[in-house]
Amino acid sequence: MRRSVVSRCFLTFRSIRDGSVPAMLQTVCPLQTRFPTKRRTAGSRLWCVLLLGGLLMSASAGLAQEEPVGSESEATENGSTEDPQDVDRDVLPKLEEMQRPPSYDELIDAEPFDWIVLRASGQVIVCEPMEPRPDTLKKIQDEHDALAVRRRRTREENARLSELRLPQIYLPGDPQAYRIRLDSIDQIIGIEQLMLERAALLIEEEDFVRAYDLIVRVQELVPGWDAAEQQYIALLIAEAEFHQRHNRPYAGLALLEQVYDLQDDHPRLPELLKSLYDPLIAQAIEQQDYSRARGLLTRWSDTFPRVADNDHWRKTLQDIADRTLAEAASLQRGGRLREAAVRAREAGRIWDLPRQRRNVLGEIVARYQIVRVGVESLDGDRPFPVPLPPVRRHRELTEEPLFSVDRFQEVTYYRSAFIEDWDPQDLGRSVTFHLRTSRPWWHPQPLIKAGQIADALSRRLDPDSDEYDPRLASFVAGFTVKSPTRLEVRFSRVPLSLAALFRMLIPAAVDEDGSEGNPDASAAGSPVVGGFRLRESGDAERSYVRRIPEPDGMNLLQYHVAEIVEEPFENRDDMIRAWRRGRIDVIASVRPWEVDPLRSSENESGFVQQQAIPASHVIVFNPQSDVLRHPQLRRALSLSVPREEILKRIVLRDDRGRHGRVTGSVWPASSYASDPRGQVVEYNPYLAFALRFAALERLRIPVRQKLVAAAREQVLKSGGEWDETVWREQNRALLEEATADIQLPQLTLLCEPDPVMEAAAETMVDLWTRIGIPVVLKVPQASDTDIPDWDLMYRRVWMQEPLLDVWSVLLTDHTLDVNLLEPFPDWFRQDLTLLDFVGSFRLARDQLFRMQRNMAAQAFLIPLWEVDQFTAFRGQVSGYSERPVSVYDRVSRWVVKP
Amino acid sequence: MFRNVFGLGGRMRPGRHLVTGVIAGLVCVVPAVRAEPGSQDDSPPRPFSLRPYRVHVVVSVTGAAGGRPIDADAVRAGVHESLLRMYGRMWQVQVTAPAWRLPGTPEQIRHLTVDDLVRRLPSDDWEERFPEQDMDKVVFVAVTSQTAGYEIVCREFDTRMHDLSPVHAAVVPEDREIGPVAAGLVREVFRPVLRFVRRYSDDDDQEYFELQAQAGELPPPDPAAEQVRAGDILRPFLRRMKRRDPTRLRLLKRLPLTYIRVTDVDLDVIRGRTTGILLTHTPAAPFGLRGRGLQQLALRQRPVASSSRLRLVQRSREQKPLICQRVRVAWKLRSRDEDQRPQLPLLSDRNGEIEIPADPDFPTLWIYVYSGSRTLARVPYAPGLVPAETVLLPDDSIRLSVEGDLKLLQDELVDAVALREVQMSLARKALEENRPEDVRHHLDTYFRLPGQEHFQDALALIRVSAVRRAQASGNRFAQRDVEKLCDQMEETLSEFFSDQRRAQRMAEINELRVRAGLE
Repeated sequence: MRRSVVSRCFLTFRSIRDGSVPAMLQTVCPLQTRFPTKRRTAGSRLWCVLLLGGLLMSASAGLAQEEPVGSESEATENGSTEDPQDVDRDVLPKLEEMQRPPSYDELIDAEPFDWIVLRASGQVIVCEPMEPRPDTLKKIQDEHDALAVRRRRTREENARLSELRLPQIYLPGDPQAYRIRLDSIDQIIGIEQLMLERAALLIEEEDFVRAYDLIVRVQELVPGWDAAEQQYIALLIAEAEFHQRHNRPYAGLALLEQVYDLQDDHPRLPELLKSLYDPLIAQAIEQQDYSRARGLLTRWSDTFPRVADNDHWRKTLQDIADRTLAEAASLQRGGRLREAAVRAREAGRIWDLPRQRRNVLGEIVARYQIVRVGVESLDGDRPFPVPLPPVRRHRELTEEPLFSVDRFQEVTYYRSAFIEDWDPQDLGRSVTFHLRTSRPWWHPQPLIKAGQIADALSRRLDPDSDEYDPRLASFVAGFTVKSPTRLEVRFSRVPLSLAALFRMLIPAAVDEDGSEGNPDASAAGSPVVGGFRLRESGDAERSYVRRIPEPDGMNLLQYHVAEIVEEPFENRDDMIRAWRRGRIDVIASVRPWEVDPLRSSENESGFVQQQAIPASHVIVFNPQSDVLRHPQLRRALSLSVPREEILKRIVLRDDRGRHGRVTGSVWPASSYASDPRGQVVEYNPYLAFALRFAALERLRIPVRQKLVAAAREQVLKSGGEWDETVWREQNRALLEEATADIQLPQLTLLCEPDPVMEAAAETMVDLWTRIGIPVVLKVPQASDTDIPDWDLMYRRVWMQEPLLDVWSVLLTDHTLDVNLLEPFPDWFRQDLTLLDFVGSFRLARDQLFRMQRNMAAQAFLIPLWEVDQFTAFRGQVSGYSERPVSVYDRVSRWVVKP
Repeated sequence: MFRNVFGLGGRMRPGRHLVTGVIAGLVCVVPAVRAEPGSQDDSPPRPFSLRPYRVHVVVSVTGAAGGRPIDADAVRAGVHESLLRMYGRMWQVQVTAPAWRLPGTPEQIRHLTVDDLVRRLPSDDWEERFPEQDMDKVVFVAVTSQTAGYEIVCREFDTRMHDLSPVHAAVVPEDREIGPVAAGLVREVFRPVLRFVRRYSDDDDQEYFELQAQAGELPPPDPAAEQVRAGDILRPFLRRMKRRDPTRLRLLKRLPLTYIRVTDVDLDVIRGRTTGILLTHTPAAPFGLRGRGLQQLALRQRPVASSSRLRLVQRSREQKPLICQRVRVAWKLRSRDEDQRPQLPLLSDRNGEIEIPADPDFPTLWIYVYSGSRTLARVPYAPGLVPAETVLLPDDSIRLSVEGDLKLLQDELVDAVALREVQMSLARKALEENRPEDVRHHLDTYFRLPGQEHFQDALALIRVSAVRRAQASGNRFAQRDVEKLCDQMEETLSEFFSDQRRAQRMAEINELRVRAGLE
């Protein structure tokens, strides 16, 4: 078994020291130790030279014996065992006898060493690393030669020259220094060289990890060595090719990026890049994923600018874009505006078009503008007591009430798409509505007649109608259609906010389509008047188009959004990415923690607009549930919610709590109805627990009272004296036992299907359970068909008009049925109903202040927090309101530039 | 005759003849003097029980478009004949066609109001379309021929009570049925008149009222036309006659939400003598009074609808309905009786109205209106008699709002007490676990909790604010109620924060401090 090189060399030198030839060398010419040497005489120098020469000659004559194969050496694999018989026969190994390069294991953790290959014999002396490195021999030789040719040398140079002629070496584990003649050295192979050689072999074997380890080790040993860098580059390239063969192009590209960073003119880069990028781009083009193709090309050019050979692909995409644009132009000439716009947008996404073609694209897109809106879900069919966001958005687009909110600044201001003007008369006891007689071209909804409003009013005033509005009926005494465009309404009581009271939907006229020129007959028979109608609905997207398109032939700058396409994203990162890349133009709802990153200066994609009405998070009680009859239980639920913590940690994910705030009312904190002195319910688990206990005791009272009554009857019947206090004291255990099985009912908390709200709800349920109120959380699923039974509901509210809207939120009811108020105390019912009778704004505000305090204190509902609402618009979108009141506020005025 | 009438017989001493004659003469004269106004002739007025009803039936006959032809005279004749058969001597009936200003069509009858028939003049006189001197009742009958038959609409007007009955209607397929059916409707709308006789209490101290039906002694040939029976409801009226002319009405007073429930009708001895129980919401009975020139009459009225609507409004502001007012319907005869079935809870709607169903087993019931802890009203009601009625209730809004404020204050007090106990408990625990700093912390928290001063201030604020509002609206009752509520709350506060309790607690706290080494 071959001994390791190191052990054999070591043994050789030990034998020298022990008295063989090298020992003789030692007596004649003491070898230098590591310590500073004494000055030597010329004679001793001569003897050393002679002896050393003899040594070398004897060494070349076969001092290093190759151990015969199959020897009975006791050396192990590591060569740590010496064989005394072999010592005498040991000679330095020859280079070709040595494993070159050593194995990975032998190198990776080895102490650095050098192989000195003797010129004469080819034998190898293993020693500690010499300096300088790398290319030690060459550097020494060069320095020697440079000094040798000088005619006049200084003493130091002479000394240096001498040193160079006899470079000093150290043997592993031996403090003694030795010298060797420079001219006897054929080559010095450093460990780093061996490592690189082994690394090269490992690369060939595709063992990239170990090759990398070795190269890193080399770089540690010899920082900045070109050979190491070259080997590293070779490693990267080999690995890139490996990934390319195994269909992992992106991994390969990542490696090539590193190659490029190290050596941007590497000859293999262009071909390798081509081999990796071409299939990717070809596939993207085949799949018509031009964004991806374009992205790849861009990446190719941006990452490898000097070697990006991809002009042919650019040309390919350019051609495709040109063809697509031509198709779009053809479609537009044929009057198929929508398809033309879709194709034109595609052309724009395929490749940057030259100016002339960009103008064509711009014209096509400007004529039929499509705005793509990213949303979280299109599924509004989950059974939930109040409309979910998809339904709200749908209604906002397809239903236009007689009066809608124009802006919200403490007070709510209204506008009407149908009414030109209205004159209150007789101190407000009657009003005449003057309807619009002409419609601006950007209005997507048709004009209406007074008869349609009268029809809507009739339905709302008819107690037998499903649309009966008792509140409106209590105000309206009668109405008269004065003309097709004039309607007079008389009031039995003057309403404080006329517009808020008339936020009603108007039934569509039968013949509106023909008379308004709407070519799409599917709009006929729509139940209510609205701006947009649903064109198509599917799992992938939902699109809405104007009921009445804008007329042809106008200046292109006058056109507005013609179609709204909602696209759902399950993953918000995908949605934001799509927005940044321009695949969608609007993000309907931006999460609070996303606002600042989207607004940051690095992002030039667009703007984030804050909506005027924040979302108020609130827990409401089911009027049919018994929970409403337990004030202690309600208050316990309210007091055991750490609002600040949940808001910051879960809802906003921001310790500073920006974009949200804890609130004590169900309407916005900025509303006129919000009492500035109003207090938020403080988190108080002690009090919550005490109240929970009180609620439980209250449940047990009727049973205890029955026992007391029965006992009393018995005592009195038997003629005894009755003292209830004493009896209770004496029968405390009996009373406890009799009511031990009476526990608080398990409550069901129904939560809006929203991940953030669900997380907050889970936290609240956990806290309630901890203080002993059993609550189970339910989130409606897509597969559910009916609304499950619920006691509490965690929902969001966007309250536009507190004066009129608090009722429907409190009772989760739009029928305004007074019977639902039965569980509430008389004084609260009076407060609520008084809202319909207040005669001035100041009184209304005072009444709302009072209600805010009462609702929170008695926990008729549980206000939690409000969260600011944001919508993100790409830079191409304009025309939206500075503080929109909702996602699609003034959507008919939006403009999407190409 | 005197003998026969007064049961005198045998020989009498001459002096007694004179006395007897005088007495007999008085007996004959007095009724004549006390006779009800309206008798035109000079003959002594008949007793009320023997006085037939003077009924004027106005029958209008119209034809709708496409309706069948109809013989108006034949209709009137048929009605007349049927009524004669039905009522006999009980009625002096006259059937005529309507004059030019009288209501002629069914719609006109339906929309007829009392103001159309009688009007108060500035001179305190009455302008009557149908003077009570000439007739007791006017019955409007409208017959309209339609394509499918004949619609008959009927309504009765009492000239003395100035009261219109609800509308009764029927449809008959054949013209020969018009007369009998119309007569039947007339019988349905006819509301007999009774006059108060006396009131008395029985052995159980239950009060009863006796009334006499007009023409009670003149039984109708048709037994179905019997005037009154047990269980009927009478609506009482007060008529104040003029002093100088007792035959003319000076003032008519309706007694809404006041009824007499008939318990017994005498058909043997004094026919038409009716006994009943007065049901009223007022503390004192407004009927059965004494007074000169006071006529106390009642109309028997039977339910025509399956329910009635009762509207609750504020007395001081009638245009303001009381919405979401808590109401309970109790089925019992007298207000002090036990409920005969579970009470029905109701809430008034947005118009302040509640719908009360009529029940033939309970022609009258009691309605309780609650406002917070207070019973705002307790009224009897006979559903189905009139379609709608209004109840005027006092303004309880100030007291109710104070009740709400005090409820919140009470909860706050309970919270404070609970939290104090919690802090004390935590302090004791901290002491046991030798954590003096926590003891200090909990005691500091204890003292930061709202105390007596806070609650006294809050109570004072509630009191002052509410009293001011009551004074501003001139509502002395509300002011009194508010003071009472606040006084009760003050007592509660005094009890919670009594000196004894305070001293006890301070002693406890001091002990904790000492043991914790904080002092």
